[in-house]
Amino acid sequence: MYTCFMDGLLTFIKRNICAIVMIVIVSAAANSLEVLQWSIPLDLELGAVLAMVILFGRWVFPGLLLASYTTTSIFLGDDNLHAEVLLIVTIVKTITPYMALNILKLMSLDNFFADSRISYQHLAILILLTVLINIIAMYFATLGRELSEGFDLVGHLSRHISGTILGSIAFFSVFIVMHKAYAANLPQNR
Amino acid sequence: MKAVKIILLNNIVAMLMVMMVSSANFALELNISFIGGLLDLPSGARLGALLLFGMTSFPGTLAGTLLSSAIYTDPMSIYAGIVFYDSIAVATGPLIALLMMQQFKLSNFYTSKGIYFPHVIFLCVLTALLTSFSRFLIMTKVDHGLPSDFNLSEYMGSILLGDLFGTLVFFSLLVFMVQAFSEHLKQTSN
Repeated sequence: MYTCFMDGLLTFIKRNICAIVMIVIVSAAANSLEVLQWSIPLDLELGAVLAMVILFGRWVFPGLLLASYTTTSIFLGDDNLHAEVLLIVTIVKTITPYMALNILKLMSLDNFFADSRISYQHLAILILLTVLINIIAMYFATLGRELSEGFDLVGHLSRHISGTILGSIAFFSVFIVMHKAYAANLPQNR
Repeated sequence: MKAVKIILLNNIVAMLMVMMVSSANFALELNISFIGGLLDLPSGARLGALLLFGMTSFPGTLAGTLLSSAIYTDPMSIYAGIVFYDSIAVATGPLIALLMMQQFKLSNFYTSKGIYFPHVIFLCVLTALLTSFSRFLIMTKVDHGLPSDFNLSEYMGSILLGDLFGTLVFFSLLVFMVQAFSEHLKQTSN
């Protein structure tokens, strides 16, 4: 009983550390692309969060929340539009993938792994739904707060949507190729 | 034709991996000052690319290293003149270390359960030694000479430490995520 509990606790801690490190690294990469004023919108963070949610389930929620808060406070800075709603943005960013996942579960569309392969259709629906919920939640979170003059909301949203979709596709593509290469290298698969 | 496609894909993924991790390292060093020099994630990514995709991914690794150094190096820095040679040295180090380990029959990087960390760590140490020595040679030959208070052992130690931490973080993340992914795939295989 005790050993089982300790094993579970250790797995929980390991998964959360993995989630924190992964999100911090990916957010840092996305931040340097922003610093360079990269013309292609690429938000890798959502892809990484979704990967963590799919791989480790709801057990990594504390890790994702902590990682999201850390990255938002480190990389966004005080002069950012989101600085005053930092905590709300953090919670929204962490909860929305779980909300999307639960909606897909209700509609029996959460079979992300089928016949030893990843189901791209279900993954695409999850990405789209997460982006949609994210935008609605962000709208309500920033409702009633003054946006800076000349702020192009439509342009910002279109960049956000295309960035998150492109970022998620890029992250999952790289991860799947890496997984295939790793599996092919194992002695039993050679 | 299929083999060429796979090699091309592997090179693109290796390049993206190195560039993404270099971007992350740049942002982390910029925002969190104590990380500077302590964590060299790109070194882990370069080793990871060579171990995952094999030596055929070297052009991708080299391209990723050259591109990221071209993007993130300050043109006003005193090291700007040697960035090109430095990047070649940094990208070639892991390849030479890997070739050396293969010659000495120490290249069993994979076991049936996953990555064999003792050999990976040895590869990392060897890479760090080769890289730091070649960078030292470049600094003495190409640049305006070394600063008067330059300490070689301290310099090599800092590179070794950064490489080791970077490799450990990169491989731990990779193994943990890939194993979780494989578990999900196994569950749906029947």
